Parts: sequence; structure tokens; C-alpha cells
Amino acid sequence: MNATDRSAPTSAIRRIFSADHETIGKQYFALSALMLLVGGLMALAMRWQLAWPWTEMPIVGRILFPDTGRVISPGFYTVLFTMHGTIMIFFVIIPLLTGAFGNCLIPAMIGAREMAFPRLNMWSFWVMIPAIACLVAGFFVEGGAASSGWTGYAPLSTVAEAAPGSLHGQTLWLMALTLSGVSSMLGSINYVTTIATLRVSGMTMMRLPLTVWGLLTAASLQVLALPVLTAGGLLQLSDRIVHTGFFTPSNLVIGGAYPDITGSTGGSPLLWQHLFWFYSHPAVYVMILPAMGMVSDVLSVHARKPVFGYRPMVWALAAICVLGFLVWGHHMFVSGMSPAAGTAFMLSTFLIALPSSVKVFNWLATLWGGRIHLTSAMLFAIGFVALFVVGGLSGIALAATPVDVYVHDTYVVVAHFHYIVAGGTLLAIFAGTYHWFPRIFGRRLDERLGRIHFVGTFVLTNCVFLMMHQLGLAGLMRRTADPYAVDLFAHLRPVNVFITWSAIGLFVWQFFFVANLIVTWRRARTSAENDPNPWRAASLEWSAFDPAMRVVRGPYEYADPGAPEDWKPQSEPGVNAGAGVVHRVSSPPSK
Amino acid sequence: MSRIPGRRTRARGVSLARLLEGSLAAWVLVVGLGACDFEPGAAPMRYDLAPSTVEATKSAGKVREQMETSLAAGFGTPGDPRYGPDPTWQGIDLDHPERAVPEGSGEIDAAHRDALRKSNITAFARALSDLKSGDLAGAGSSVKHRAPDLGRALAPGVAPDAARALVEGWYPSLRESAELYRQECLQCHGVEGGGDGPMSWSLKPRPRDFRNGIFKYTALEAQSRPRRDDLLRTLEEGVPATSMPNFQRLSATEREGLVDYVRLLSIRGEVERALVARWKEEDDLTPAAFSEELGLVWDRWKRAPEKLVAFDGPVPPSTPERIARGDALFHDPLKANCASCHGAAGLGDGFASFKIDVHGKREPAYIDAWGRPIAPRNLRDGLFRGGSRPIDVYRRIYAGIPGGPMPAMGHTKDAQGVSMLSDEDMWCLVHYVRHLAHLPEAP
Amino acid sequence: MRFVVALLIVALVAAGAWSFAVASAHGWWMPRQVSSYGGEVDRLFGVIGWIIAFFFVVVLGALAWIVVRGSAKRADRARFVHGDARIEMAWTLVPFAILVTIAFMQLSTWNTIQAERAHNGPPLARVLAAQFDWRFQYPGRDGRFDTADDFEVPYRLVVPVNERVVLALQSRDVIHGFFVPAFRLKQDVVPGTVLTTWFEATEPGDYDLVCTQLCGFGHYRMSGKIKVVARADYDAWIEQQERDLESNGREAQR
Repeated sequence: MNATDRSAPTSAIRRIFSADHETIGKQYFALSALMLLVGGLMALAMRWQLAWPWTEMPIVGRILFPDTGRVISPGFYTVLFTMHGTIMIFFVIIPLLTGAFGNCLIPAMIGAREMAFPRLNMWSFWVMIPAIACLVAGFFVEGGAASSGWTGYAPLSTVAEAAPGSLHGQTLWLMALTLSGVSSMLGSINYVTTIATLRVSGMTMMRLPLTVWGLLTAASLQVLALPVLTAGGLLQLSDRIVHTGFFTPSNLVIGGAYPDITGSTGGSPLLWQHLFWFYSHPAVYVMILPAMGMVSDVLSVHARKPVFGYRPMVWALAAICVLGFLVWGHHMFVSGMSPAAGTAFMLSTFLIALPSSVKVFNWLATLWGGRIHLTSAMLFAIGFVALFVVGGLSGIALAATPVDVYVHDTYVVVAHFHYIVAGGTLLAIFAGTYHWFPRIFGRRLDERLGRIHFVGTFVLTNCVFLMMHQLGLAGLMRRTADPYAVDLFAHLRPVNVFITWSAIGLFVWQFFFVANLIVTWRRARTSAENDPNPWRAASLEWSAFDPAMRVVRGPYEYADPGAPEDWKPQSEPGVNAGAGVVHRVSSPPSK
Repeated sequence: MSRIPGRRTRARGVSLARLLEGSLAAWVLVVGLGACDFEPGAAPMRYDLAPSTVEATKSAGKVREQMETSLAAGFGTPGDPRYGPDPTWQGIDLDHPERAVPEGSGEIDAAHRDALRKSNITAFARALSDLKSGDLAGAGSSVKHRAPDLGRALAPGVAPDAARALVEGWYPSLRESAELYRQECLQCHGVEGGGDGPMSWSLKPRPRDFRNGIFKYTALEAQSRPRRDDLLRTLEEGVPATSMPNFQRLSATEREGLVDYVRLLSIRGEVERALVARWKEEDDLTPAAFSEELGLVWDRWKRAPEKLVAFDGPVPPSTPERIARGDALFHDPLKANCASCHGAAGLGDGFASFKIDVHGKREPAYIDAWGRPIAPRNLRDGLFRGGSRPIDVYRRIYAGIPGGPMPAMGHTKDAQGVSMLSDEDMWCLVHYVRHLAHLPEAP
Repeated sequence: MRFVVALLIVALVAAGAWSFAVASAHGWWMPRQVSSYGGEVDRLFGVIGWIIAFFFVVVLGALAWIVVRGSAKRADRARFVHGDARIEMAWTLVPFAILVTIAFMQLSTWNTIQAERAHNGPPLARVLAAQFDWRFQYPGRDGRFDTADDFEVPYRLVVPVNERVVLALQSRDVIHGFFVPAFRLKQDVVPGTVLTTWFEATEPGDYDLVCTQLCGFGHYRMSGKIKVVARADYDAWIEQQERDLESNGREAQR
């Protein structure tokens, strides 16, 4: 099954600290799944508080707040959403897409035996462990974990007196973020180099599967933007520890305390926002570009039809990659930034909507006239398209500055990015999992359970996030521990209760996916599973690794009426290079 | 579902899959039913003895038990707080302070009650409109969140007029106020009002510990217990430059209820301290001893209105001359001597208020009534904890700030027994201090 | 299964339409606007909302339809097509035109809200945001700040109706967000700098003010009111506050 001919590992240590890209990919899968569970439980705790504030919270309340009615404290709520955001972004979505899928798919899809830097690759995974250790350690230091939101806005984050988590937790949070940044950086350098140098012969850039394109653009974004966040993080660390004043204004009075900010002669809180969003907006695209690529692959394979407009799809990815650097200011329309800058960022934000819309239309066109097999993978991919449309469209309203002024920092924003990341990317990750599971683990997931998993996940995801738009339009602000503390929002309670029940349902529903893994693992291997290419997919990862093979066409050659079967594999078996076979240049996939 | 090449049914695991599908329907049913009327509450809480009490009675388990029993009998539990078996023993119905008692101690009077009625109408506007449309159940459910007892009182069968009167004339029971306290105050001030809630440790200054009956920012002489109005003022205005916010979000009636409950916590704490002191002299704590101490404590609270600090005649306006004179008094070591603590520039860095420890680090020299280091206020940051009106500042200077080293200048006399500062002197200081607050802050 | 998928997508469209249709009846919607530029914002939102709704229905409807048709076992093979430059061009240029139109449509409103703030005259009051309270400082009778007749009020900002009100937003601790839903007004309050914002309320009444930028554990409870009153009432209120400032503590309860 596995195409690589790596030698058998000799010891457990070698197996664990493996430089083999597939092992690392699986390790990323396991770690991210664990973090997904943690982040999901945090989301449930938040939902409990939002539906029934200041009531006994199951388990958590009993352990952490035994004396005050088993009710979580508002400080703990701020820790919850800070950690939920941080974990989901930096320890679930990004590692799953780039770490797990990147490692498992990139070499296989470009016909490489290994990554360009296998040992660097191993380090990129193992750096995640101290990163998570730092994150977890935050819960055990005085003051608790970071509580200034995943955005860590100064001076809330830089001044110890400003928030409980800013005492020590924020320092650990910054360390965790920096370490995970190092991990992403190592991984991204590796991916870019691998894709640039290790493509098998004939694999031109315009024959790369869109998944690889998505991962390449995401890795490029990481390589270029991460240093800015790391630098910003170090500046914030120095603000916190040696009391420099990069982001901390002078003469602060917090409560009745005069924080020790001796070095500060008037730092700028907005500077942190600029540095932070200069990375974190591209990070949003890091979280969606690989998903877009994966969905394009899944749609094409299971619709048995070439991707419609391969080149525009690639250009759209590239355009998002470039424009992604120019739109960070749209997070700051109400921050007091110059209105002229706001106008510029508004225009670039409208522009970045364009490639995304082109991609959606191309996905529709890919499906149109296809011979659609509604496998679990396909269902999740279709679900991704539907939810991405919702998230993308609400993005247009958010881009219009006067409207954004109203909905900024309300639940409209929460709904918007959860539709993209939780609805969109997570569904794409499930699509990818169902699709590539046979390739990675040599087994096929149960289709029946997979379909049940999809239906519930799709319905409940919408139940959770759809009505958040209305909450936001009613003015409900984000990160509020008790929406009903202000009379203005008291009538929103039924909506929040509904959302909470839906969230509990969505969480429990993932049980079907876990059950699927267990069922698949427990049952006997079927004869069908000896088939290395169950979907009859054309791209390279489904064919046996062969260093001499030659790629002769694009990855999406399905439904060619002139071919004996409805698919033509991307490569032809290796021939002796000395035999004088003429290099066959096939036409690029997009005509 | 069309079949793709190579797809086969599974050999095993089918039964498990079917089982899962079957469980689905059951699960949806259970959750659906559960979701219908699910209203969780907080787990029961208890009043614990203060750490100092536990420490003092470490070797006397029996006394501690007696103390706990009598305090529980006298004040109930956080879920059901009350004043003893007979709440009217001191000439006032402490459980129902809105019921005016003829010889009462300035508790809520009729005119005040009308204001509360208005605030009820605003707070329960939705419930009242439900009542108007004859929807008793709707009204009941919309008040339940704010006033559980009232929600229960609006049971089906109540005549609309009676229901309306109930809502408009609502005054929270101690139980309702305790519930509101739990949601609004407990996270900082703690279950017993000890200033030790889950968030308290992160605040500077720490939340007030009600248990010794000292409230810093009142309109009264030092050492007296606060009036209702003093506590209400704190709830309405908050205390700037601390973490105490204002509570105008709540209706006036709800704030009155919180005052009732804070007073209960404070009295409970004072009685607890008194019992500890008493036990050190006597061996046994009888119920009679408890009643006696409770009576003494309540007497102090009842006398509060007599201790108002006010000025007769119009407040002298701020003039450059008064400010200049205030400046001189402020810095004069033989007069007000404010600069020794508050610093020459009013930055709160005077030499007398700090000591240098062995590491050369500056530490506050004074300890407050709660055992914590206390530094003088920076008068330049423009934030007045006890209010920024001239009369507020006057009260701070005249009566000092209880619980801390700020002296009552109005009572400070020199060796000849003559007041150090005349009234005019104090007004000059008031205007100088307010003038300091308007100066640009030194970097 | 294809009908299930189509049903799911159609249900999403229906749920979306339903949730927006019923939302305003339950108040799960923008509160009624009462400021001079609120109407402009609402109109803009309406236009963009309908454009979004149109594409929402069309794109998801097309998706459902394509899935139903495509998963029927009609053809032996899918259509063999790699793309079409004309169609690509069309669905690049049409959205581009729409997006650019929207972008330029809202510039004037943005200008009204933001750019005009520079020449709006002296502030009526200072907004002092602190964890977790709004306080408002008025210059008093003399109209000048930092003089003896300044006074501060917590929670409730009183402003005259139908007059342009400029506010100076200040914070001494962390970033707060000054958000008045009924005015469609939001502006962060950033420590270390004084930002101004403005509005003109068109109806007397009490309007809610909340904090939208995470400011610590009490963020949820940081709220206030904007009380809009007639000019005469406003002047009377200022006068009353000034008298309160001169209180000798005898006649007032507090």
C-alpha cells in the first residue's frame, strides 16, 4: 500500500521519533484530534454559560468552583474563549491541514519519496509538544491561563494587572504561540522546498493537484507572515517581562493599580493589532486554502469529472495568497485607525472576495454534468461548498465599512468565521479524511456511518451558527460571559438555548465518526481494501511510488470519451530512461 | 447512491453500525424532551466561618460548632438568608425593610417606596404588558429571571389586578437579593462577603470585606456603620479607581435589595467577630450571648444616620486664593501636612507612607484594617473613589477614611486642644485637591 | 441520498430565509435606528443584504439542483470539459462589478461616520471608559474641561436631541469599545490616545450603550445608557448637576 520503500524501523524510539513523512502526518492527526476534543469541550462549556449563565456547570464547576455554587467565574469564561480560539486555530486547524494532510499528501502527490528535509519535518512535529505543554501549563500558574482573547490585544495582555491571565498565563501563551509558529515555519519551509524541488519528472507546476497548490500557497503565506507574528510576540513578551513600552501606553491606571511600565513612554496598542493581524489575517487563509484545494480534488474524483477551470482555480489561490497580505486592516475598522486606511483596506477586502467567488462558481461547474457519487467524502465536500458560500457571503456585508462598524465584534463576526472555519474547513477536513483514509491507513471508513455523520454534522452545524447572525444583528457583543446582564439582550435567551442544545448535539454527533474509526479498525480487512485505488482517482498518491515514473498529464483526467476507462492516471509507469522514449508533453489540463 | 467501482459491503461491523443508527432516534428523543424545560440552577452554598475565626477556635471544636449553629440559626444560608427566628426584635422588620416601622431607623419610607414602584414598572415593563394582555404565564416567566419569588407568586389563578399590584409593589425578599448577589457580587465579594470571591485575588485594591462592618466611602464620621444611602450611593456610582463598578443596570428596587443583603452579610460577619472576642473571655456561647451581640451590632447600624458629616451654609466656591492657601496648608508640616504622605506634587509618593526594605524596594508603610499594605492615593490621576464633588472631598478630609491611615482632620487638635484646621482651611484644601486632579498628570 | 443532500441544502436556504423573516418579530434584529446617519447604514445593509440573499439562494439552489441531476445515473460518463474561458470571464467580471459597486456605494456613508469627525467642534463630554464602567465627564457651566465646575456622572450620558454631539473617548486602562446599537455607532476607546466620535440622535429616549472590545473578565457587564432629551431638559439637567456639585451634604441624601 505505502508507496515508499523505507526500511523497517528498528526500535520503538525510532518509530516514534520518525522522520518519515507519513508517520509524522499520522502523529499530527492524532495530536490535532486530541486538541480538537479539548477545544470542542471548551466550546461546550462556553455554550453552557451562554445559555444558562451562572448556573452549576457539569463536571467543570464541581472541580474548579466547589464553593461558589459550582458556577464558573467570569474570569474562567475569558480563559475558555481565549484557549478555545488558540487551540482551534493553532493546534487543530492549521496542524491538521498543513501538518497532517500536508505530510501525508504532498510527497505522494508530487511523486516524491520523502520530504526535502525529513529531519526538519520531524522537528516541526516535536516542537508542537512543548508548545502544547506551555499552553497547558498556563492553567496551573498563578492567575490561570491567558485570558485576553486569542487576539491578545495590548494593553490587556501586556499589563499583569489588567486581567488575571495576564499575570503569568499570557507569557506561557506567547511561548506556546511562538513555538507553534516555529513548528509551522519548519513545516512550511519544508513544503515549499519539497514542492519546488522534488516533483517527479513531468510534474509541472500546472499539473499539481489543487490540494498541493492549496498547501503551497498556505505554506508561502506562513513563511512570509509568521516572522511578523513571532517578532510581535517577542515584543509583547518584552513588554510583559522587562516592561518595555512597544504596545503599552504610559500613565495607566488599572483598577486602583499603577502598573509598573517604567520603560513605556507611550507605546501604541494599535501597533500590536497591526502586527497581529498582519499574520493572523493570512493565517485565516492558511486555514482555508488547503481546504479549498482538498475539496476541489474530492469533488473532481467523486464527480468523475475534471476540475472546471484548473488554471483559474490556481490563479484564484495565488490571488488570495497575495491579496491576503493586504487586507489585515479590515479587522481594525473601529480601532481608531485612519479612515483613509480603512477605505484602502475595505477596497482590498472586496477584491479578495472575488477569487473566492470564482472558486465557488468553478466548484459548481465541476459538479455540473458530473457523474456524482455521493460517498461520505463527496457529501462533506458538497457540505463545505454550501457552508463556505454562507460564510463568504456574510463576509461581503462585513467588508462594507459602515455596516462593519455596526456588526464589528458582535456575533455576526462569530457566525461568519465559524461558518468558514468550523463549517467550511472542518467539513473539508472530514471530506479529506474520508477520501484519503484508504491512502493513509489502508482501510476504508464505513460509508453508512459516514453518511449519518454527514447529515447530522451538516444540520447541527447550521443550527449552531445560523442564528448567531441574528444575535449579532441584535447587537450582542462577542466574548460576553452573560448576554443577559444587559437588559437589551435579555430577549435573546431562547436563541442561545437553542444554539447550546445544537452545539451539544453537534459534539455528541461526532460520536458517529469515532464509532466509524472503531468499526473500521475492528472489522476484518476486506478484499476490496487490497485495491490501492478505491476511488479510481487519477492523481499520483494513489499509484505505487516509482522513482522512474513520468507524469504525462494533469491530475483530473476523468470522463475522457476516448479513453478505455473513465479516468486516466496522471503518470505512466517508469521506463528505462536510456531507452530513448520521447518525453510526451501532454496538453495542460485547462484548455 | 450510485456504486463506485470496487465498492463492497463490509464483512463485519454492520451490526454495530445498525445499533448506532438505532441509538440515534432514542438520543434525539431524550435530548428533545430534556430541552423542553431545562432550567439549571447553582449548587447549594454555605456560609463558612472566616479563616481568622477558624484559626482562633482551632483548639475548641465545640465552640466552633456552637458558633456555626447560632450563626446558621441567626442568618440562615446563602440559599435562604434571614434574620433569626424573630426578625422584628429590634423595632424594625429587618427581613422586610420596606415595611416602614413608626419608630424605625430611617428605613424605606412611603415617598421612597413610590420611587421604587416606578423603577419596578420600568424593570418589569414586559411583564406588565403581558399582564395587560391577560397573559399571566408570560408575565410570570419574564419576571422569574429577576425575581424568582415574584415569579412563583404570579401563579395561575391570581387576578390580573392583583398580579399587577404584586409586580409594581415588588420588593425583593432576602432570598431574591441573595440570588442577585450571587450573580452580580459574589465573584468578587465572596459567599460570606469576605472579599474573597473567585475573582478577588486579581483585583487591586482587593474587594471590600464586609465582615468587620467598615465601609470606606460614606458620608459619615469614621467608626460608624454605613446608612442605607451610603451603600446605595456606592452601588449607583461605583468606586472609581477600584474594580467596583456601578450597578445602575439594575433597577432601584434591586439595588435596595442588594443593600439589605450586604447589610445582612456585614452584620453576620460582625456578630461572628464579636462571638470570637466573647469566647476568649467566656467559655461557653449560649444562644442568649448570640442575641446580645446581635443587638449590640444592630445598635451601631441603627445609629448611623446621626453621624452625618455635612456643612452648614453654602459651600465656599473655588477661587485662586483658596487654592493657593490650600497649597500652603497641604505642604505645611505643622498644619495639614498632606504632602508627607501624598507627596509634594500629590503623586501619592510622600516619604511617610513608604518604607524601604532590605532590598531597597519601596513598600507601603501602613497596613489597613484588613491586614493589607495600603499606599496613599495619587491625587493627580483625577479619580476620586468617594466622589468628586467638593462635599465628598470635604468628608474625606474632615472624617478621614475608616480602615486606613487617612486621619480625620476635622477632629485633629493641636497641643492646646485647638482644631488644626478651621472649616475654611478644609475648604481650601478641598479646592486645592480638586485643582490637583485637573492638572496634567506628571509623566 | 441525492434527495437528502438536496433537501439539506434547500432546508439551509429555507432556514436562512425563515430565521431572517422571523427574527425582527422577536427582536432578534437591529434595534430601531434613531441617529442622523443610522438610516444610511440601514439602507446600505438592506441593499447588501438583498444582494447576499439573492446569491445565497441562487448558488445554493444551483448546488442542490446540480447534485440531484448529477447523481442520477443518466450518463455513463461525466461531461469531459476542462473549462470555458468565456464563462470564467463572465463569473469573474460580474461579481467584480457588483463588488466594486458595493465598495463605492458605501464610501460616502463611511465618510460621514469617520472622516467628518475631524471638524466637528469641541466635545460635549468626555467618555471615561474603565474596567468595567462607563463614566462621563462634562465641562460644566463654563464649557471648559479641567476646571472646578466639571462634574462626572456614571452610567448615563445625557445629550440633547437633534444636535450634533461630539464625544472624546478616553481610557486609562485597556481598550474598550463604545457601541450604541440604536445609533449604529461603534468606536474603540484606546488608552494612550483621545479619539473622537460623533452622532446626532433624532428621538428622545434611553438608548443602550455596551462595550464591544474585550476588556477583561467583567466585559459582559460593562454597559450604560445614552439619555437623549430636549435641549431645555438638557440645560436643566446640567443646572441640576451643578447644584449637586455645590451641595453641602445637608439637604441631599447623599
